[in-house]
Amino acid sequence: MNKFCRLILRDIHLVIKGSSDAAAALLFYLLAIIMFPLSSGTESTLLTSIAGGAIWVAALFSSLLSLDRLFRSDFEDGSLEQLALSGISLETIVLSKCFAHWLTNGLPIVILSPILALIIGLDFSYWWILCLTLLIGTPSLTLIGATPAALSCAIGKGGVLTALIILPLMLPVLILGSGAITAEISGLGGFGHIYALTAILPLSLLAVPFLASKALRLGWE
Amino acid sequence: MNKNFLIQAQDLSFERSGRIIFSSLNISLEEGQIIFIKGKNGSGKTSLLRCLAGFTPTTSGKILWYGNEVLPAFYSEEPLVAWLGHLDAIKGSLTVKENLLFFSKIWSVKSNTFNKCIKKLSFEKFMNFPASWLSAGEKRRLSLIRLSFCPAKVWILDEPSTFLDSDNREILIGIMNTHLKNKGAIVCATHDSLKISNALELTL
Repeated sequence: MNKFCRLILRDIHLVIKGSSDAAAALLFYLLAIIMFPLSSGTESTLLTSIAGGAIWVAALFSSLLSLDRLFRSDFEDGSLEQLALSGISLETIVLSKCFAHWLTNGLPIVILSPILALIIGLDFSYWWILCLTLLIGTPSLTLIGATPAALSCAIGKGGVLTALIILPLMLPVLILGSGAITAEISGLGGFGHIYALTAILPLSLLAVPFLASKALRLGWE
Repeated sequence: MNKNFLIQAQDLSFERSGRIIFSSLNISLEEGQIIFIKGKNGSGKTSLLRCLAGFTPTTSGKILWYGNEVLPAFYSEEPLVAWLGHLDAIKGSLTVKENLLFFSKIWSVKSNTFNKCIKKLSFEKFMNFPASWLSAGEKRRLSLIRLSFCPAKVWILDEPSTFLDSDNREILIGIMNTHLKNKGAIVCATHDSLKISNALELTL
């Protein structure tokens, strides 16, 4: 088994052992969606029209919550230094961490989304487009958030500051993702949005490992 | 260029926001050599070690590994440097065994060597403890186990003897001597007098 897989397995293991806020982020995603029908009364048409956007916003905040810890614990206890000296390039480490984050945050979000669509009252015949946009969009969310998360290690504090940097960067993904669902429901067809959403993924996949590892190195200086 | 040198630092200087931390330092280590870096608090010992390991870029000067210029040291396929710093890189939520096994697999350490290193620091009874239960001294010993099975030839140690009692200090010296005998090299910053024969010394 190569080092990349070992890194991913280690991160997943750490999430399961509870030294990370992954579960909290997922619970937030669930609860935020459950709040919507409770707060907006009995008018189900209103809820149906905003359902796609609401699920997307909840998914975005959920990944934002867990992204803050993406590098921080490894950076603070020195694991990242040991890993970097182990003959693994920092870019590989960044990619493996992003992949592990997606597996523990993005993938559960995608899997839970049809159930949430039922709760919030999205017409169930559109579950596939909700899943598809989330499946394409969540990896981009993770990747886009990685560089600010790495930068937050360099300046030594995270939380609100990371959120303020990440949110504007994530806007295109949010607009295209929820836009695809709205367009599909209105009969225009959502594939135009989906193509554009798909284009973000390879771009961020190429740029992020270099940017994030540069940010991590800045933190060591 | 002499190929026998494991690590060579030539004319190294380092400034931080205008303050000169150290300047025109030369260090060369052959197989089996050890250098102790001494100096007061704040004299730049840790900065020098971080420069050598490649975490911090130097202001000027060259660092050669095995006679070749590879900068920073972590751009290689194999671990070139074993690093023991102030941070212990131990995950409290994992057990001692899981902590050690991860690195032994990343470094492809043979299970024989792995078990021998654990025995040397008498850590068998801790293996299934969560690492967060360990005291500071025990955590340091855990780091020493990891250090002793690291396949890298050059060790960079920052205050390796902190938190250790006198018995474990002897074990540490034993580990360092074994490494030197196996043609390794050590750069070590310390305030204690660790007795190792033929040691070079550099005072900052």
